Amino acid sequence: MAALSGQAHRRFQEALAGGSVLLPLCLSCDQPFFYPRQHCPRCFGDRISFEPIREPLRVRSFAWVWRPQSRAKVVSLPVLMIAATSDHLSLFAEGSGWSEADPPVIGENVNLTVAERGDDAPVAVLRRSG
Amino acid sequence: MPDPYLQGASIVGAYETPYTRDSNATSLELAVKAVIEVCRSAGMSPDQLDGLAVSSFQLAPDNVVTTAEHLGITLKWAWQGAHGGASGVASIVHAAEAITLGRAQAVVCVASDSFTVSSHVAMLEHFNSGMRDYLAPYAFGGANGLFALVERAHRHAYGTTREQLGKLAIAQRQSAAKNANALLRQPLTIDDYLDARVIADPIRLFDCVLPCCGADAVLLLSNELAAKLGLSRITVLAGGQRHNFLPLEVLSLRTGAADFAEDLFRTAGVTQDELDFLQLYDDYPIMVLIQLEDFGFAEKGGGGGFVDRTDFGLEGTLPLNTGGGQLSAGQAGAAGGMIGAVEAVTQLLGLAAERQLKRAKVGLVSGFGMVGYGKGLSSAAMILRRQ
Repeated sequence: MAALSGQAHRRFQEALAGGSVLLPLCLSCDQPFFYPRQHCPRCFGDRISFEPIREPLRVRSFAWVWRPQSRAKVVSLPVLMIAATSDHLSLFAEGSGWSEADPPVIGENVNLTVAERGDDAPVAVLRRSG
Repeated sequence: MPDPYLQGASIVGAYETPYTRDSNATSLELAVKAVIEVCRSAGMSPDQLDGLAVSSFQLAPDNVVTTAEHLGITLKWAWQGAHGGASGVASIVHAAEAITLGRAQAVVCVASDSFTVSSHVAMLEHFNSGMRDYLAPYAFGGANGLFALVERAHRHAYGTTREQLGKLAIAQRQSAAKNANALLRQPLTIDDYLDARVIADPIRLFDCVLPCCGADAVLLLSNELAAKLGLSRITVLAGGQRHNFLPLEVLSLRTGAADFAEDLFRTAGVTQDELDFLQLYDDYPIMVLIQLEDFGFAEKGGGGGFVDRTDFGLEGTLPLNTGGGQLSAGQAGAAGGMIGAVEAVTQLLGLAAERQLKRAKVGLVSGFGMVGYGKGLSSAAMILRRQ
Protein backbone atom coordinates (compact mmCIF):
# COMPACT_ATOMS: atom_id res chain seq x y z
CA MET A 1 0.00 0.00 0.00
CA ALA A 2 1.34 3.43 -0.92
CA ALA A 3 2.32 5.72 1.94
CA LEU A 4 -0.27 8.42 2.58
CA SER A 5 1.88 10.44 4.96
CA GLY A 6 5.55 11.24 4.61
CA GLN A 7 8.36 9.82 6.70
CA ALA A 8 8.80 13.09 8.57
CA HIS A 9 5.16 13.10 9.55
CA ARG A 10 5.44 9.55 10.82
CA ARG A 11 8.43 10.49 13.01
CA PHE A 12 6.47 13.42 14.43
CA GLN A 13 3.47 11.20 15.15
CA GLU A 14 5.60 8.47 16.71
CA ALA A 15 7.03 11.00 19.13
CA LEU A 16 3.55 12.23 20.03
CA ALA A 17 2.46 8.65 20.65
CA GLY A 18 5.42 8.34 23.01
CA GLY A 19 4.30 11.43 24.91
CA SER A 20 6.73 13.96 23.46
CA VAL A 21 6.47 16.87 21.07
CA LEU A 22 9.61 16.68 18.96
CA LEU A 23 10.05 19.20 16.19
CA PRO A 24 12.29 18.94 13.15
CA LEU A 25 15.66 20.63 13.47
CA CYS A 26 17.99 20.98 10.49
CA LEU A 27 21.47 19.79 11.43
CA SER A 28 22.99 21.73 8.54
CA CYS A 29 21.75 25.22 9.42
CA ASP A 30 20.80 24.48 13.03
CA GLN A 31 17.29 25.93 12.60
CA PRO A 32 13.93 24.43 13.55
CA PHE A 33 10.99 24.42 11.18
CA PHE A 34 7.37 23.36 11.03
CA TYR A 35 5.57 21.49 9.57
CA PRO A 36 7.80 18.41 9.43
CA ARG A 37 9.23 17.44 6.06
CA GLN A 38 12.18 15.44 4.85
CA HIS A 39 14.32 18.45 4.06
CA CYS A 40 14.94 21.89 5.54
CA PRO A 41 12.91 24.63 3.81
CA ARG A 42 15.68 27.14 4.60
CA CYS A 43 18.85 25.40 3.38
CA PHE A 44 17.37 22.27 1.74
CA GLY A 45 19.59 20.06 3.86
CA ASP A 46 18.32 16.57 4.52
CA ARG A 47 20.00 15.84 7.85
CA ILE A 48 16.97 16.37 10.07
CA SER A 49 16.80 15.62 13.77
CA PHE A 50 13.63 15.63 15.86
CA GLU A 51 14.18 17.44 19.15
CA PRO A 52 12.25 19.23 21.89
CA ILE A 53 11.54 22.85 21.11
CA ARG A 54 14.32 25.06 22.47
CA GLU A 55 12.89 28.53 21.91
CA PRO A 56 9.98 30.06 23.84
CA LEU A 57 6.77 30.28 21.81
CA ARG A 58 4.49 33.31 22.00
CA VAL A 59 0.88 33.78 20.96
CA ARG A 60 0.72 35.61 17.61
CA SER A 61 -3.02 35.29 17.10
CA PHE A 62 -5.96 33.18 18.14
CA ALA A 63 -9.50 32.32 17.06
CA TRP A 64 -12.50 30.79 18.80
CA VAL A 65 -13.94 28.28 16.35
CA TRP A 66 -17.68 27.68 16.70
CA ARG A 67 -18.07 25.77 13.44
CA PRO A 68 -15.34 23.13 13.31
CA GLN A 69 -14.59 21.76 9.85
CA SER A 70 -12.56 18.63 10.37
CA ARG A 71 -12.69 15.02 11.44
CA ALA A 72 -11.31 15.86 14.88
CA LYS A 73 -13.35 15.03 17.91
CA VAL A 74 -14.83 18.12 19.47
CA VAL A 75 -14.94 17.96 23.25
CA SER A 76 -16.62 21.32 23.71
CA LEU A 77 -17.26 24.49 21.79
CA PRO A 78 -15.72 26.84 21.00
CA VAL A 79 -12.40 25.32 19.99
CA LEU A 80 -9.43 27.60 20.51
CA MET A 81 -6.94 27.76 17.65
CA ILE A 82 -3.66 29.54 18.27
CA ALA A 83 -0.93 30.72 15.96
CA ALA A 84 2.31 30.74 17.93
CA THR A 85 5.70 32.04 16.96
CA SER A 86 9.28 32.14 18.18
CA ASP A 87 12.35 33.73 16.65
CA HIS A 88 12.74 30.91 14.13
CA LEU A 89 9.48 29.03 14.14
CA SER A 90 5.79 29.50 13.52
CA LEU A 91 3.05 26.93 14.00
CA PHE A 92 -0.63 26.39 14.66
CA ALA A 93 -2.17 24.23 17.34
CA GLU A 94 -5.25 23.95 19.45
CA GLY A 95 -5.07 25.89 22.69
CA SER A 96 -5.96 24.35 26.03
CA GLY A 97 -6.49 26.07 29.37
CA TRP A 98 -8.04 29.36 28.25
CA SER A 99 -11.68 30.41 28.10
CA GLU A 100 -13.60 33.17 26.33
CA ALA A 101 -13.70 34.99 29.65
CA ASP A 102 -9.98 34.50 30.09
CA PRO A 103 -8.62 34.49 26.54
CA PRO A 104 -5.02 34.30 25.39
CA VAL A 105 -3.09 37.54 25.22
CA ILE A 106 -1.15 38.20 22.06
CA GLY A 107 2.50 38.00 23.01
CA GLU A 108 2.09 35.73 26.02
CA ASN A 109 4.37 32.72 26.32
CA VAL A 110 2.98 29.25 25.65
CA ASN A 111 4.19 25.66 25.89
CA LEU A 112 3.73 22.94 23.30
CA THR A 113 2.61 19.68 24.91
CA VAL A 114 0.86 16.42 24.02
CA ALA A 115 -2.86 15.84 24.44
CA GLU A 116 -4.61 12.50 24.19
CA ARG A 117 -7.74 12.38 22.04
CA GLY A 118 -9.38 9.14 23.07
CA ASP A 119 -9.54 6.91 20.01
CA ASP A 120 -7.74 9.49 17.86
CA ALA A 121 -4.00 9.83 17.57
CA PRO A 122 -2.53 12.23 20.16
CA VAL A 123 -2.04 15.83 19.05
CA ALA A 124 0.21 18.70 20.05
CA VAL A 125 -1.56 21.47 21.95
CA LEU A 126 -0.52 24.86 23.28
CA ARG A 127 -0.93 25.62 26.96
CA ARG A 128 -0.21 28.59 29.15
CA SER A 129 3.41 28.83 30.14
CA GLY A 130 4.12 28.43 33.83
CA MET B 1 5.11 49.12 -22.14
CA PRO B 2 2.48 46.38 -21.79
CA ASP B 3 3.84 42.86 -21.57
CA PRO B 4 4.70 41.96 -25.19
CA TYR B 5 4.13 38.27 -24.50
CA LEU B 6 0.44 38.97 -23.83
CA GLN B 7 -0.38 41.45 -26.58
CA GLY B 8 -1.26 39.02 -29.35
CA ALA B 9 -4.43 37.92 -27.57
CA SER B 10 -7.80 39.51 -26.96
CA ILE B 11 -10.47 38.65 -24.46
CA VAL B 12 -13.75 38.76 -26.35
CA GLY B 13 -16.36 37.19 -24.11
CA ALA B 14 -17.38 35.92 -20.71
CA TYR B 15 -20.14 33.71 -19.39
CA GLU B 16 -21.39 32.65 -15.99
CA THR B 17 -23.85 29.81 -15.41
CA PRO B 18 -26.66 30.44 -12.96
CA TYR B 19 -25.32 30.14 -9.41
CA THR B 20 -27.32 27.71 -7.25
CA ARG B 21 -27.06 26.49 -3.67
CA ASP B 22 -27.23 22.90 -4.84
CA SER B 23 -27.14 21.20 -8.20
CA ASN B 24 -27.58 17.85 -9.86
CA ALA B 25 -24.87 18.85 -12.32
CA THR B 26 -21.27 17.80 -11.76
CA SER B 27 -18.32 20.17 -11.96
CA LEU B 28 -17.54 18.69 -15.38
CA GLU B 29 -21.06 19.30 -16.65
CA LEU B 30 -21.06 22.87 -15.37
CA ALA B 31 -17.70 23.53 -17.02
CA VAL B 32 -18.87 22.12 -20.34
CA LYS B 33 -22.03 24.20 -20.21
CA ALA B 34 -19.97 27.36 -19.64
CA VAL B 35 -17.57 26.56 -22.49
CA ILE B 36 -20.41 26.08 -24.95
CA GLU B 37 -22.21 29.23 -23.84
CA VAL B 38 -19.17 31.50 -23.87
CA CYS B 39 -18.42 30.35 -27.42
CA ARG B 40 -22.04 30.98 -28.38
CA SER B 41 -21.84 34.52 -26.94
CA ALA B 42 -19.15 35.27 -29.52
CA GLY B 43 -20.96 33.56 -32.38
CA MET B 44 -18.52 30.66 -32.32
CA SER B 45 -18.74 26.91 -31.96
CA PRO B 46 -16.62 24.98 -29.42
CA ASP B 47 -15.03 23.05 -32.27
CA GLN B 48 -13.30 26.29 -33.26
CA LEU B 49 -11.34 26.15 -30.00
CA ASP B 50 -7.80 24.83 -30.01
CA GLY B 51 -6.99 25.60 -26.38
CA LEU B 52 -8.69 24.96 -23.06
CA ALA B 53 -7.82 25.78 -19.45
CA VAL B 54 -9.84 24.21 -16.65
CA SER B 55 -9.77 24.95 -12.93
CA SER B 56 -11.87 22.98 -10.49
CA PHE B 57 -11.52 21.40 -7.07
CA GLN B 58 -13.96 18.61 -7.85
CA LEU B 59 -13.21 17.72 -11.45
CA ALA B 60 -11.48 14.45 -10.56
CA PRO B 61 -11.47 11.82 -11.91
CA ASP B 62 -11.77 14.10 -14.94
CA ASN B 63 -9.24 16.68 -16.08
CA VAL B 64 -8.71 19.22 -18.82
CA VAL B 65 -8.14 16.55 -21.46
CA THR B 66 -11.20 14.51 -20.57
CA THR B 67 -13.14 17.76 -20.49
CA ALA B 68 -12.11 18.19 -24.13
CA GLU B 69 -13.23 14.62 -24.76
CA HIS B 70 -16.57 15.38 -23.12
CA LEU B 71 -16.94 18.44 -25.32
CA GLY B 72 -15.79 16.64 -28.44
CA ILE B 73 -12.98 19.02 -29.37
CA THR B 74 -9.29 18.66 -30.25
CA LEU B 75 -6.74 20.77 -28.40
CA LYS B 76 -3.30 22.08 -29.28
CA TRP B 77 -2.93 23.66 -25.84
CA ALA B 78 -4.30 22.39 -22.51
CA TRP B 79 -3.78 23.79 -19.00
CA GLN B 80 -5.18 22.78 -15.64
CA GLY B 81 -5.21 25.03 -12.60
CA ALA B 82 -3.72 23.88 -9.32
CA HIS B 83 -3.58 27.31 -7.71
CA GLY B 84 -6.91 27.33 -5.86
CA GLY B 85 -8.59 30.71 -6.09
CA ALA B 86 -5.69 32.07 -8.12
CA SER B 87 -6.20 29.54 -10.91
CA GLY B 88 -8.76 31.52 -12.89
CA VAL B 89 -6.66 34.64 -13.29
CA ALA B 90 -3.49 32.61 -13.82
CA SER B 91 -5.19 30.61 -16.57
CA ILE B 92 -6.15 33.76 -18.49
CA VAL B 93 -2.62 35.15 -18.34
CA HIS B 94 -1.16 31.82 -19.47
CA ALA B 95 -3.72 31.58 -22.28
CA ALA B 96 -2.92 35.10 -23.51
CA GLU B 97 0.75 34.15 -23.54
CA ALA B 98 0.09 30.92 -25.43
CA ILE B 99 -1.97 32.74 -28.06
CA THR B 100 0.66 35.47 -28.43
CA LEU B 101 3.32 32.81 -28.98
CA GLY B 102 1.20 31.10 -31.59
CA ARG B 103 0.52 27.96 -29.57
CA ALA B 104 -3.24 28.39 -29.96
CA GLN B 105 -5.64 30.92 -31.42
CA ALA B 106 -8.92 30.31 -29.60
CA VAL B 107 -8.92 29.40 -25.90
CA VAL B 108 -11.59 29.15 -23.24
CA CYS B 109 -10.55 29.45 -19.61
CA VAL B 110 -13.23 27.91 -17.44
CA ALA B 111 -13.56 27.34 -13.70
CA SER B 112 -16.33 25.35 -12.10
CA ASP B 113 -17.42 23.48 -9.02
CA SER B 114 -20.53 21.87 -7.70
CA PHE B 115 -20.17 22.67 -4.03
CA THR B 116 -22.33 22.44 -0.96
CA VAL B 117 -21.27 23.33 2.58
CA SER B 118 -20.77 19.63 3.41
CA SER B 119 -18.77 18.79 0.30
CA HIS B 120 -16.63 21.86 0.90
CA VAL B 121 -15.84 20.65 4.42
CA ALA B 122 -15.05 17.13 3.14
CA MET B 123 -12.64 18.57 0.59
CA LEU B 124 -10.73 20.52 3.24
CA GLU B 125 -9.78 17.30 5.04
CA HIS B 126 -7.60 16.29 2.11
CA PHE B 127 -6.85 19.61 0.45
CA ASN B 128 -3.10 19.11 0.75
CA SER B 129 -0.75 17.25 3.05
CA GLY B 130 0.06 20.25 5.25
CA MET B 131 -3.60 20.85 5.98
CA ARG B 132 -4.46 17.16 6.25
CA ASP B 133 -1.65 16.26 8.66
CA TYR B 134 -1.23 19.40 10.77
CA LEU B 135 -4.52 21.30 10.77
CA ALA B 136 -7.33 18.82 10.18
CA PRO B 137 -6.43 16.81 13.33
CA TYR B 138 -7.64 19.87 15.23
CA ALA B 139 -11.20 21.14 15.01
CA PHE B 140 -9.65 24.03 13.17
CA GLY B 141 -12.61 25.58 11.40
CA GLY B 142 -11.22 25.24 7.90
CA ALA B 143 -10.46 28.44 6.08
CA ASN B 144 -12.77 30.32 8.44
CA GLY B 145 -10.54 29.52 11.41
CA LEU B 146 -7.34 30.34 9.59
CA PHE B 147 -8.52 33.69 8.26
CA ALA B 148 -9.92 34.50 11.70
CA LEU B 149 -6.33 34.23 12.91
CA VAL B 150 -5.25 36.56 10.09
CA GLU B 151 -7.97 39.08 10.91
CA ARG B 152 -7.15 39.17 14.61
CA ALA B 153 -3.44 39.56 13.88
CA HIS B 154 -4.08 42.41 11.43
CA ARG B 155 -6.41 44.17 13.86
CA HIS B 156 -3.88 43.77 16.68
CA ALA B 157 -0.95 44.99 14.58
CA TYR B 158 -2.64 47.88 12.78
CA GLY B 159 -5.86 48.75 14.55
CA THR B 160 -8.12 47.63 11.71
CA THR B 161 -11.74 47.63 12.82
CA ARG B 162 -14.76 45.42 12.22
CA GLU B 163 -16.59 48.49 10.92
CA GLN B 164 -14.00 48.94 8.19
CA LEU B 165 -14.33 45.32 7.13
CA GLY B 166 -18.10 45.63 7.24
CA LYS B 167 -17.99 48.61 4.90
CA LEU B 168 -16.42 46.37 2.25
CA ALA B 169 -19.04 43.65 2.66
CA ILE B 170 -21.89 46.18 2.56
CA ALA B 171 -20.59 47.91 -0.59
CA GLN B 172 -20.41 44.57 -2.36
CA ARG B 173 -23.91 43.62 -1.22
CA GLN B 174 -25.26 46.88 -2.62
CA SER B 175 -23.77 46.00 -6.00
CA ALA B 176 -25.07 42.43 -5.74
CA ALA B 177 -28.59 43.83 -5.54
CA LYS B 178 -28.16 44.64 -9.24
CA ASN B 179 -26.82 41.20 -10.15
CA ALA B 180 -29.60 38.68 -10.74
CA ASN B 181 -27.08 35.84 -10.48
CA ALA B 182 -25.95 36.77 -6.96
CA LEU B 183 -27.35 34.42 -4.32
CA LEU B 184 -27.36 37.06 -1.58
CA ARG B 185 -29.05 40.26 -2.73
CA GLN B 186 -30.98 41.43 0.29
CA PRO B 187 -29.67 44.65 1.88
CA LEU B 188 -26.93 44.25 4.49
CA THR B 189 -26.55 46.85 7.23
CA ILE B 190 -23.57 47.47 9.46
CA ASP B 191 -25.59 46.13 12.40
CA ASP B 192 -26.40 42.97 10.43
CA TYR B 193 -22.70 42.54 9.79
CA LEU B 194 -21.48 43.28 13.30
CA ASP B 195 -24.15 41.25 15.08
CA ALA B 196 -24.16 38.20 12.80
CA ARG B 197 -23.67 34.68 14.11
CA VAL B 198 -20.10 33.91 15.16
CA ILE B 199 -18.38 31.34 12.94
CA ALA B 200 -14.78 31.54 14.12
CA ASP B 201 -14.34 34.59 16.32
CA PRO B 202 -13.55 37.25 15.14
CA ILE B 203 -15.06 36.06 11.85
CA ARG B 204 -18.85 36.13 11.64
CA LEU B 205 -21.39 34.96 9.10
CA PHE B 206 -21.14 37.84 6.63
CA ASP B 207 -17.35 37.56 6.53
CA CYS B 208 -17.81 34.16 4.93
CA VAL B 209 -18.69 33.11 1.41
CA LEU B 210 -21.60 30.82 0.64
CA PRO B 211 -20.38 27.59 -1.02
CA CYS B 212 -22.46 27.01 -4.15
CA CYS B 213 -22.53 25.52 -7.63
CA GLY B 214 -21.63 27.23 -10.88
CA ALA B 215 -19.09 27.89 -13.60
CA ASP B 216 -17.40 30.98 -15.04
CA ALA B 217 -15.67 31.16 -18.39
CA VAL B 218 -13.67 33.66 -20.44
CA LEU B 219 -12.96 33.41 -24.18
CA LEU B 220 -9.66 34.58 -25.66
CA LEU B 221 -8.82 34.77 -29.36
CA SER B 222 -5.83 35.86 -31.37
CA ASN B 223 -6.13 39.52 -32.30
CA GLU B 224 -6.44 38.53 -35.94
CA LEU B 225 -9.32 36.14 -35.33
CA ALA B 226 -11.10 38.62 -33.06
CA ALA B 227 -10.82 41.30 -35.75
CA LYS B 228 -12.00 38.89 -38.43
CA LEU B 229 -15.08 38.11 -36.36
CA GLY B 230 -15.67 41.80 -35.63
CA LEU B 231 -15.59 41.34 -31.86
CA SER B 232 -14.87 43.99 -29.26
CA ARG B 233 -11.47 43.36 -27.70
CA ILE B 234 -9.95 43.52 -24.24
CA THR B 235 -6.18 43.31 -23.77
CA VAL B 236 -4.28 41.84 -20.83
CA LEU B 237 -1.78 44.63 -20.26
CA ALA B 238 0.17 42.76 -17.60
CA GLY B 239 -0.09 39.79 -15.30
CA GLY B 240 1.67 38.64 -12.15
CA GLN B 241 1.84 35.55 -10.01
CA ARG B 242 3.56 34.43 -6.83
CA HIS B 243 3.31 31.03 -5.22
CA ASN B 244 4.50 30.28 -1.72
CA PHE B 245 5.65 33.86 -1.15
CA LEU B 246 7.51 34.16 2.18
CA PRO B 247 7.86 30.40 2.61
CA LEU B 248 8.58 30.46 6.34
CA GLU B 249 5.82 32.93 7.28
CA VAL B 250 2.85 30.69 8.04
CA LEU B 251 0.49 33.40 9.31
CA SER B 252 1.08 36.16 6.80
CA LEU B 253 -0.46 39.61 6.64
CA ARG B 254 0.81 39.94 3.07
CA THR B 255 -0.14 38.11 -0.11
CA GLY B 256 2.17 37.41 -3.01
CA ALA B 257 0.75 40.52 -4.66
CA ALA B 258 2.92 42.58 -2.36
CA ASP B 259 5.89 41.17 -4.24
CA PHE B 260 4.68 41.70 -7.82
CA ALA B 261 2.30 44.68 -7.68
CA GLU B 262 4.90 47.31 -8.47
CA ASP B 263 6.06 45.39 -11.53
CA LEU B 264 2.44 44.72 -12.55
CA PHE B 265 1.53 48.42 -12.62
CA ARG B 266 4.82 49.46 -14.22
CA THR B 267 4.44 46.91 -16.99
CA ALA B 268 0.80 47.80 -17.58
CA GLY B 269 1.73 51.46 -17.75
CA VAL B 270 -1.09 52.52 -15.46
CA THR B 271 -1.25 53.74 -11.90
CA GLN B 272 -3.67 52.84 -9.13
CA ASP B 273 -5.47 56.13 -9.72
CA GLU B 274 -6.14 55.25 -13.35
CA LEU B 275 -8.08 52.08 -12.60
CA ASP B 276 -11.82 52.29 -13.17
CA PHE B 277 -12.58 49.32 -10.92
CA LEU B 278 -11.13 46.52 -8.84
CA GLN B 279 -12.24 42.92 -8.85
CA LEU B 280 -10.31 41.58 -5.84
CA TYR B 281 -10.50 38.01 -4.63
CA ASP B 282 -12.84 38.22 -1.67
CA ASP B 283 -12.96 35.02 0.33
CA TYR B 284 -13.03 37.28 3.41
CA PRO B 285 -13.20 41.07 3.80
CA ILE B 286 -9.89 41.01 5.64
CA MET B 287 -8.23 39.58 2.52
CA VAL B 288 -9.73 42.35 0.39
CA LEU B 289 -8.29 44.90 2.79
CA ILE B 290 -4.90 43.20 2.82
CA GLN B 291 -4.86 43.16 -0.99
CA LEU B 292 -5.68 46.87 -1.07
CA GLU B 293 -2.45 47.31 0.87
CA ASP B 294 -0.50 44.84 -1.23
CA PHE B 295 -1.55 46.45 -4.52
CA GLY B 296 -0.35 49.81 -3.24
CA PHE B 297 -3.59 51.64 -2.50
CA ALA B 298 -2.34 52.08 1.05
CA GLU B 299 0.82 51.35 2.96
CA LYS B 300 0.93 48.11 4.96
CA GLY B 301 -1.36 48.62 7.91
CA GLY B 302 -3.10 51.56 6.27
CA GLY B 303 -5.84 49.54 4.61
CA GLY B 304 -8.41 50.41 7.26
CA GLY B 305 -7.90 54.12 6.80
CA PHE B 306 -8.08 53.74 3.04
CA VAL B 307 -11.40 51.93 3.40
CA ASP B 308 -12.69 54.74 5.62
CA ARG B 309 -12.05 57.41 2.99
CA THR B 310 -13.03 55.47 -0.15
CA ASP B 311 -16.42 54.89 -1.77
CA PHE B 312 -16.41 51.37 -3.24
CA GLY B 313 -19.94 51.52 -4.69
CA LEU B 314 -20.94 51.40 -8.34
CA GLU B 315 -20.92 55.19 -8.47
CA GLY B 316 -18.05 55.56 -6.07
CA THR B 317 -14.46 56.62 -6.57
CA LEU B 318 -13.18 53.03 -6.68
CA PRO B 319 -15.88 50.50 -7.57
CA LEU B 320 -15.03 47.14 -5.98
CA ASN B 321 -16.32 43.69 -6.90
CA THR B 322 -19.11 45.21 -8.90
CA GLY B 323 -21.18 42.05 -9.22
CA GLY B 324 -21.18 41.51 -5.46
CA GLY B 325 -18.11 39.29 -5.44
CA GLN B 326 -18.02 35.93 -3.78
CA LEU B 327 -19.23 37.42 -0.51
CA SER B 328 -22.63 38.13 -2.06
CA ALA B 329 -22.78 36.08 -5.28
CA GLY B 330 -21.47 32.89 -3.68
CA GLN B 331 -18.30 30.86 -4.05
CA ALA B 332 -18.63 28.10 -6.61
CA GLY B 333 -15.30 26.57 -5.62
CA ALA B 334 -12.62 27.34 -8.17
CA ALA B 335 -15.09 29.50 -10.08
CA GLY B 336 -14.65 31.95 -7.20
CA GLY B 337 -11.28 32.67 -8.74
CA MET B 338 -12.87 33.43 -12.11
CA ILE B 339 -15.91 35.42 -11.01
CA GLY B 340 -13.90 38.64 -10.88
CA ALA B 341 -12.55 38.09 -14.40
CA VAL B 342 -16.02 37.47 -15.77
CA GLU B 343 -17.34 40.58 -14.05
CA ALA B 344 -14.40 42.64 -15.34
CA VAL B 345 -14.95 41.48 -18.93
CA THR B 346 -18.68 42.14 -18.59
CA GLN B 347 -17.99 45.68 -17.38
CA LEU B 348 -15.32 46.37 -20.01
CA LEU B 349 -17.61 45.17 -22.81
CA GLY B 350 -20.41 47.38 -21.48
CA LEU B 351 -22.72 44.44 -20.84
CA ALA B 352 -23.33 44.86 -17.11
CA ALA B 353 -26.84 46.27 -17.54
CA GLU B 354 -28.10 48.12 -14.46
CA ARG B 355 -24.80 47.74 -12.63
CA GLN B 356 -22.78 49.02 -15.61
CA LEU B 357 -20.15 51.51 -14.50
CA LYS B 358 -20.19 54.94 -16.13
CA ARG B 359 -16.54 54.50 -16.96
CA ALA B 360 -15.07 51.04 -17.49
CA LYS B 361 -11.92 51.19 -19.56
CA VAL B 362 -9.19 49.77 -17.31
CA GLY B 363 -9.50 47.39 -14.36
CA LEU B 364 -7.56 45.08 -12.11
CA VAL B 365 -8.55 41.49 -11.31
CA SER B 366 -6.93 39.35 -8.64
CA GLY B 367 -7.04 35.75 -7.51
CA PHE B 368 -5.82 34.24 -4.27
CA GLY B 369 -5.94 30.82 -2.74
CA MET B 370 -4.61 27.31 -2.34
CA VAL B 371 -4.59 27.43 1.44
CA GLY B 372 -1.78 25.25 2.69
CA TYR B 373 -0.40 25.17 6.19
CA GLY B 374 -2.06 28.32 7.38
CA LYS B 375 -2.15 30.75 4.49
CA GLY B 376 -3.19 31.23 0.91
CA LEU B 377 -0.15 30.18 -1.07
CA SER B 378 -1.05 31.53 -4.50
CA SER B 379 -1.67 35.05 -5.73
CA ALA B 380 -2.35 36.13 -9.30
CA ALA B 381 -3.50 39.39 -10.86
CA MET B 382 -3.91 41.04 -14.23
CA ILE B 383 -4.71 44.51 -15.51
CA LEU B 384 -7.18 44.62 -18.40
CA ARG B 385 -7.88 47.41 -20.87
CA ARG B 386 -10.73 47.74 -23.36
CA GLN B 387 -9.41 48.47 -26.88
